[in-house]
Amino acid sequence: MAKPKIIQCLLCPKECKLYDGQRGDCRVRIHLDGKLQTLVYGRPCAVHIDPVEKKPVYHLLPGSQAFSIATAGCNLHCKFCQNWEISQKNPEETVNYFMPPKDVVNNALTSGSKSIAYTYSDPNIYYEYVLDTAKLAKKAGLKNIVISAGYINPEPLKELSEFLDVYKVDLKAFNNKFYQEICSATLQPVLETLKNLKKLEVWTEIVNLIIPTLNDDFTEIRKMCKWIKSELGNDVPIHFLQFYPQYKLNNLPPTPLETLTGARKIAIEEGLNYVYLGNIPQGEGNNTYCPNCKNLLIERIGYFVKEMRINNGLCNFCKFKIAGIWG
Amino acid sequence: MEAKHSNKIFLSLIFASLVMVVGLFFYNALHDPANEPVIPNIDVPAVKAKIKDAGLVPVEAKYYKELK
Repeated sequence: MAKPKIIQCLLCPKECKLYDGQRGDCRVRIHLDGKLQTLVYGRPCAVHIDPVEKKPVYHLLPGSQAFSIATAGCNLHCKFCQNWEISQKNPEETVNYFMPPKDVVNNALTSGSKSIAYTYSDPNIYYEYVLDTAKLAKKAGLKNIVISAGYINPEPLKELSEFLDVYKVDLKAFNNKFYQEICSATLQPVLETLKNLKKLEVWTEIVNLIIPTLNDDFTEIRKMCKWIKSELGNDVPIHFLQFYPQYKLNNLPPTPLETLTGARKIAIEEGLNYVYLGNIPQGEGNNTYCPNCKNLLIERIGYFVKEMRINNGLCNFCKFKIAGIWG
Repeated sequence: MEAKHSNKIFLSLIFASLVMVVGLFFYNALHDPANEPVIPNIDVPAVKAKIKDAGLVPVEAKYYKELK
């Protein structure tokens, strides 16, 4: 009897080995007829227009809109996922639109959006759709934003990076045990992605959702901030987000405000220039301050920009260069 | 002569049994069924039909290799 053909997906560090008819851990890449095929090319199940601040991305065209898309599936299985109704489903189980790359770009332009955000689930798993859309979007003068857990192999990341403006990485914790037990993944490949993004010169922002009792240890948060500063530099914005109980972590309380402000204080002490708090409607943690003269540069209320005091990427007060993409 | 012959057969049987027991012992000790590739029993035409019914069109992906 002939040995059945096995195909190995090389897109993400899981590198799933698949027999005919079998799909990867992401639910959307399947071995069919001797080839690896994606089931979600041009088939988003979520399409919205969001303020770019909702991603959250704070250092790209503040106050602009991002045309946001997602397909079903994800290569991680976080127990706290806020989009589990699409990320933990097969594409046969979601209601999908037919929207090939050129339609995504046209819709983004028509809606007045300045960027396309590949978001909600994890764009790594609908890689080919992102790549082709990003190529067209770049030609049309739109920015491309990937909102991801950063669980991708270096080679596909490199190919995609040519067309990307922003890559926002969810650094879930600075702890491999957390990654294994809560997210079905590992920490090291995410750190490699962050280092590769720096080499590839893609603007990167980091999000860290702080979950009570699981990743709220201040020693660990300090260790993470030190690593960010030494490996990526102090201009990488970090957003500490408040956790709300959902999906499989309904038993835990929301993150106390003191924990979030404590984490912000640590990041500032460690020398990071742009430290934000998310899921908190108003306050210092929403705003951007000049690292040089400490004046308030961008005042935000929720997802909306109230005041903007940056011109041509420079602080209005002391002309210090503010890291980011402003025009 | 006959007794010697049956002794030889008896010893051979004992020796063969010993080899089998030792072999089984090592096989069990070294072989972990969890590491064996499990060929899943997938009804490929049914999978394809389900994909088609959902209105999905498979498109060849990037970044994969065939294992030899």
